[in-house]
Amino acid sequence: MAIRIFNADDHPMLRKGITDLLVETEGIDWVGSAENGKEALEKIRALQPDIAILDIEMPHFSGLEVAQILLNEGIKTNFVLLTLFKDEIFLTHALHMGMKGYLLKESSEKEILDCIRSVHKGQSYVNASLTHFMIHQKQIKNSILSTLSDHELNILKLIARQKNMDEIAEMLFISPKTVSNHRSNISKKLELVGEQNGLLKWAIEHKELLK
Amino acid sequence: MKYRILLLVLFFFVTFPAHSDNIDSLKNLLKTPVSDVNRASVLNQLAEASYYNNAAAARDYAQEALGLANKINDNNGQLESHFQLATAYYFLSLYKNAIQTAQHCLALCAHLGNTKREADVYYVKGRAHFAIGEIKEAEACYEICKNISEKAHYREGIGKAAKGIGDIFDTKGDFTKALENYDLHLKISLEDNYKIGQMVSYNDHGRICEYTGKTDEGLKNYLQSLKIAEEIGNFYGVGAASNNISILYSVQKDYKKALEYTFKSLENNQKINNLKGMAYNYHDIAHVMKNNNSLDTALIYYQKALDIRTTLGDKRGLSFTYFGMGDLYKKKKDWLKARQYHEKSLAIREGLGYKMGISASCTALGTLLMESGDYPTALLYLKKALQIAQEVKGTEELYLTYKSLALCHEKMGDFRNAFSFQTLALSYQDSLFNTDHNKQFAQMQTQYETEKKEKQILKQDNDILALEQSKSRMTSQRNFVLGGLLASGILGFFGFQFYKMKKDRNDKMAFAEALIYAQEEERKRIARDLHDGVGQSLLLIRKQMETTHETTLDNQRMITETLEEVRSISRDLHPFQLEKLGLTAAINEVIHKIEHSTELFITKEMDNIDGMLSDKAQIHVFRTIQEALNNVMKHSEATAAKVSIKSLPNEIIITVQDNGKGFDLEWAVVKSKSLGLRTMNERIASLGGKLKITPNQPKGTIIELNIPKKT
Repeated sequence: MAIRIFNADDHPMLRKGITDLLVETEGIDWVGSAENGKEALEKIRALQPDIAILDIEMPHFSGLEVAQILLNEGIKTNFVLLTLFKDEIFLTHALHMGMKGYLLKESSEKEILDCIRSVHKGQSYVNASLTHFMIHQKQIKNSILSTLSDHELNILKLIARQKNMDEIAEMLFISPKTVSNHRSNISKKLELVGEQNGLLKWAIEHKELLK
Repeated sequence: MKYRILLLVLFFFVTFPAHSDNIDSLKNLLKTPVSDVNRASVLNQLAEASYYNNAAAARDYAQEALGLANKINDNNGQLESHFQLATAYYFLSLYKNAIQTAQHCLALCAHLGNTKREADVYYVKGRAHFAIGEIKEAEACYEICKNISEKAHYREGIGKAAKGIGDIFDTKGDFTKALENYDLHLKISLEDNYKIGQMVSYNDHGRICEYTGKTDEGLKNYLQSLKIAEEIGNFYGVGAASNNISILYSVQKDYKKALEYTFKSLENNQKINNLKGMAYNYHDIAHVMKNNNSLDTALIYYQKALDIRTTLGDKRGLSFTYFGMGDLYKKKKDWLKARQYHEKSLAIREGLGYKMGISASCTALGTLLMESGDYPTALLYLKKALQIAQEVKGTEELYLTYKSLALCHEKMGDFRNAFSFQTLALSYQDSLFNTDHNKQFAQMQTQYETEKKEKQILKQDNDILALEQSKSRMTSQRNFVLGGLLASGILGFFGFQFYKMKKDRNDKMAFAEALIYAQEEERKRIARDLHDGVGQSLLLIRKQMETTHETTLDNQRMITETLEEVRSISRDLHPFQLEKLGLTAAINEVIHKIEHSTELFITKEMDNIDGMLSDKAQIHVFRTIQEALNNVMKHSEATAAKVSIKSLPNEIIITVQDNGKGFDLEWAVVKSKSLGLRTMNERIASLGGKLKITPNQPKGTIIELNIPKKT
């Protein structure tokens, strides 16, 4: 079965570039395109493609809005953003709301096709130049750090920068006593109770994670 | 009995030409158990409803119907299927097959005495002949179609014949007669409310207007055709009309608009796999690229058009492509190749008896020979061109020919003739490139857009809300542009005087607010132009370099760096994440960026305040926080800062504190001296809020904002 794909971009040349690529690629069935958010919304709703590739900046509705509306309606289509925005926040937001791919407009044709195939297989795909964001986030999420509160994490970060108790208190705008309470909690959570300078050693060892 | 039902069905769809929305109901009919005769008839109706938007499906339906009709030896069914098949072949650009199948039909028509279908078949056969340049055969078919239809008082047939005969006169350059026939076609289509006929004939009218120099009329007709095509969801029609509009804009040298319509056309043609139409589009793209001096890209697109047209045997189209390529090689100063291509084009056009084309080719060859210094031969070609152009009264042709004749005489030293030809050329130039065209074009374009919008509102009740939103957004954008222009003009002119005279505090506030607003909007515009305009153009440049194999590591790196620069400048100018993702996320992003790029340690305690402030208030709050953090980084020598946002029932309290060196001046003095702080203060004041700056304990500064929530 060919993968049915729809694309939307308000820039005619770029839209055509993607359309041509989709039309010319075997195994892909290009079902249509739109030049603004409203048209995209209506057409995707009517055509129910496997994958819709959307630009963020478009008249009427942004690509994010289009995807949000349709995902709320329970559409089966998978969404991929193809955008000039290289900001981490757009990426996180897009993936968080359930979009499956994030591509930058400077992506090579190979990257675009790789993305389509991965997404079709049910995997997420993010442009190679953006993956470091993801990796960092994933590492934090998987590590023991996820058990710490925001305050505790901040204290650990400052310990990694080799700040003493008073400095930490000043930098977090809290009292030294509160800092010391947090410290003992962190030691418990990280199972470092009783070790000499255990927290400092641990923090320096895991400095990369604490950036 | 069976035949009576069939006749009834036949009558039904002759009277009410099938529309796309009944495709579904027909498909449903197929699912119910029906006799083979009826099934064949439904399949044929499906074919008729499909050939504009999906010719391949139409062919399959017709073939299936034919199979059934053959099985039960139903002659009427066979005729009908053959006819639908022939039409489908025509729309699939398989002209030879269409002619052959039509031939089968005619034998069956004679046998059954079905005169109406006979007329229809002759029309389709005529069109197929016409498409491959067999003009005489086409003309004969149309004449027969006309005679039969008149005898049988078959109105649709009379209309079709008129369209065909109009095409023949168009080719021969007799535009008056062509127009008469197109008028008849339009009249019948309007009276019978036959939309496809109207769509086709407005397009034909537009073309004749264009040829005779009535450019504005032309556009009006094309837009009318486009409107109908969009109304009835006819992709073929949308493709054809858009393409013609694109050519008009191209003649007016508005290449941006031209390309826009070409792509619209191409999209529609690709949708229905209309090869003939796509060839036209590629040709038009090449034409624009050529005028843009992107000669190699132009050549690629000409080649694409050429390939399709050669396969289809579209002689008229081929003559255009050869002509374009001749022109291209002339630009490349490859005189030999230029001449070869123009001669090829001329030969085809003479074979077709396509007068306007012959004139254009002769002018082109004349100019070419002039460039290489062969004035006598050039003059021969030009005189031939002039003779035909006068005969067909083609405005553009006359203008070009007079201009070339003037130039040729000038080069030969015959200044008297040169002058008189130049005068003649000028008289045509006015009607062709009248500057008023642009204005009228824009007017008509707007009218079309407006009408289209209105149609949509009527058609899609459930979308009214969305449309209104988008409309109001558009109006506010327009108002902002007008307002921005006005504001900057007025402020710039009277600003100083105004400020001096009115010491009144409120007026000062209003002035400051207007200034901040104008600046904010201006920044937004520039940011968007940079990001969307310059950014995307950079990508296109890179893509183009890739296709022409001009990429090197160096220029790739430069483009990437420039793109990054555009990104960062536009990000600094306007926070797009604010509009797209909300205030809270935007503030988070600012903090995140600072933490990434500096040693400053920032803690945050933030409630989500999305949707609690107006759009205008959001940007003021965002900018104030941004500015506060900037001050911390630049002036405070702090090692840490903290941003806290608390949402209370009626107000929002935001604090930004740091552990830096603090202000050594009184707040009042600071406020009057620092532009940044003054702007912050004005921003918050315009929201009816308060801004307070106090020393932090044990050291540093706290900035506190109290902002009322929108009511």
